[in-house]
Amino acid sequence: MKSVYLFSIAVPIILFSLLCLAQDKLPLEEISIGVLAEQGVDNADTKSTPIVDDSSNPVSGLYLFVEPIILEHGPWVIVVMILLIFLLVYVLRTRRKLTASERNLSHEIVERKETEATLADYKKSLEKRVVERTNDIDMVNQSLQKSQSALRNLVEITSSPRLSHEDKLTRLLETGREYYQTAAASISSLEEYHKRLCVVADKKELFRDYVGPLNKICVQQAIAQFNKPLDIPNLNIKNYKYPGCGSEVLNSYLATAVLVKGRPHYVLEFADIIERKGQYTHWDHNMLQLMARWIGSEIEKQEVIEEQQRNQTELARVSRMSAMGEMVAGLAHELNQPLTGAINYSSACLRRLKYEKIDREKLIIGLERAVEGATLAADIIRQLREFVKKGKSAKEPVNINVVVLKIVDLLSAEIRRHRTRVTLQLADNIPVILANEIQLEQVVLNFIRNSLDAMENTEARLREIIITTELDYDKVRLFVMDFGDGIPATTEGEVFDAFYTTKSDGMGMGLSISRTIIEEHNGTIVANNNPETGACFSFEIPANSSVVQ
Amino acid sequence: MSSEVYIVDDDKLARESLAWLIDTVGLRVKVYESGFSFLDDYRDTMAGCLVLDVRMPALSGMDLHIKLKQLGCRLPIIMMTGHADVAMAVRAMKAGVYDFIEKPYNDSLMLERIQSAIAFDLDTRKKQERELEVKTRLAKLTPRENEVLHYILKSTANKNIAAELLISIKTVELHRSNLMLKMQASSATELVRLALIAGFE
Repeated sequence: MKSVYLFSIAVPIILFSLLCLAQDKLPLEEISIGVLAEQGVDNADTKSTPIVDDSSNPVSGLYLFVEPIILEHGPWVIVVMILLIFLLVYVLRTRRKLTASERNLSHEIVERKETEATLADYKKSLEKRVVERTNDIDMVNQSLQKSQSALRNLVEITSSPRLSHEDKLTRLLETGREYYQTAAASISSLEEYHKRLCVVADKKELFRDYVGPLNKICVQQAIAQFNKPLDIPNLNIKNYKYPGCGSEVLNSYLATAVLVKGRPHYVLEFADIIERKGQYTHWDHNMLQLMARWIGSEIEKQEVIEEQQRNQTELARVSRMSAMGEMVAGLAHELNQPLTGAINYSSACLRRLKYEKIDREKLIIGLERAVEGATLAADIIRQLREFVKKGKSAKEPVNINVVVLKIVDLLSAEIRRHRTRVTLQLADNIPVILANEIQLEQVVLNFIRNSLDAMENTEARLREIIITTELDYDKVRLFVMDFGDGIPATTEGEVFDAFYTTKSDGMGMGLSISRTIIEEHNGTIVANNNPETGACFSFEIPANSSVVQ
Repeated sequence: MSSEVYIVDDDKLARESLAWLIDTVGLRVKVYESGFSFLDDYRDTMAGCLVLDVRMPALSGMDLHIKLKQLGCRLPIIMMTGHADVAMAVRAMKAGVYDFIEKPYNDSLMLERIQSAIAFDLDTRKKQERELEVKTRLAKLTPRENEVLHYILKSTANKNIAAELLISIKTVELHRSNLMLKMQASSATELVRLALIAGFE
């Protein structure tokens, strides 16, 4: 570049000097400077001085060579020079333009490269996003499938008519536990001393000797936000730590309130020993709410059923009681009339004997009537006994195990309400005996009812009734053992007496009737207190060998 | 009319035995087999007591008691019942029954109750008679004498009565002696007692 400027300076100097030479010959040294400068010019500019001599002294050579030309074609040289200058200027301008466009071009190339890089970046990130998105969709798909199968399970469980209420709850909970993949799950009541309604765990020891919800502090929170599930992936971080179940400590937690009749009555919990990486998705939360709703409606349904059953049994009991009350009142009146008569006549006779002079005729009449009254009373009692005996139907072959199973089934609602465990130890070798099945059922029913009532004050986990049957030579025995208060020591001999009762609303007829029934079957009935707690009621009936084929 | 015991019981043995028992103490007895037959026989002048069985067909003891009350019967009533029913006993006593007894009863207890009821009845009747008598005496007084009587009951002096009624003391004294005579009272104290019997304030 520098040469171009140099050249553009040199050319007018040469021109100027040539013109001067042409007029008044300049000293040589001055010219040589300009020539010297001209010699440094690039080869590309040889056009301007195309004719260069190879003589030993180029300066003087050039001068000698140029001088005649200038002198000869002075104006032409100038024209050529001017043209040369124009050309030079043109070349220079073009060159400048070229460099400028070259610069532009390189700039553009850089930009282009940058754009390409950005584009490549975009492409890469786009691919990544596509992959991510696909993964997301896959995950959503998976979770959808998971929830779909869980939902199907839930529907199957709730709509299954064969499953009992407890089974349904257990299965619902198990489905939930599988869905959330936790070690333990529970439904517990918020009342009744935090009674646990249902619990499932992959390790039983998680719940050993532990009552109530999995984490009481968390439950409070879950209830406070009862429309939203409480999801804590790491209990340690959030200071929710609470002595967990059994020997293990729970570290992750998920819970929601179960609404019954619009109010939180139970809490549904899932917990694990392992911490989770993060919270569950909102899908999972929705699923949990759904599950809680289903469990709530299931419990509500069951409560309605139990209420109905309770009402029915209560109604039956009341009508039985009132029928009995009526009968007793009627009987009292029936018996009282002749008895009053007999007593009146007897006491009147006594008075006459004491205070009046003895009138044989009158006394005889009085005493005769007294006897008449007493006989009438006796007749009424005999009629009553015959009436009771009328209920005695023919004996038929009966398996006592079947009787037990039937009654336990009949009382299942009552047993559940009393939160009592019934253990059956029925012997296989019990022969069929000749008996009145309905009457035996009544005896077993009385035994179990008494046991249930006797354990009213017993701690719930200790409430148990053990029903045993056994064959001893030719006798069939049945024991009903409970862990309640037992028979008061002072009244041990009176339990089978009529009108003996420890219940505020009892008639005291149950065991008395039971004794009558067993005695009618040639059997014996016994009531004992257990060595430790509770009582054991039993009867034995001779097995009629003729029936057993 | 002398006192009598009226027994209403649907059971023949029960009512006759009771009659027989009451006979030993020398009281007069009348038996009825139902509430209706007693109502047929009922007179205002009946004196003594009524023994009723609670449980009777057609008309129960309580129903009969209510009917008699409507008729203005003042006979004391003893209720008998076959089985103790506290609620019924309370109801009966509140309804104004004289006594409540449970069957079968002790003979002396029953007789004692009957005698006390008869005594109660006699007492009531005596009071009634006395009240009636005093009222007839009061009816004989003239309006002026009545006025003077009221002042006497307020223990006002004759002088003041004269001033109040704008009459002379002499006239007041005359009225006073007249009304004392009509009321058959010997003193002002007796007059007050009679006035109390008649229901004066």
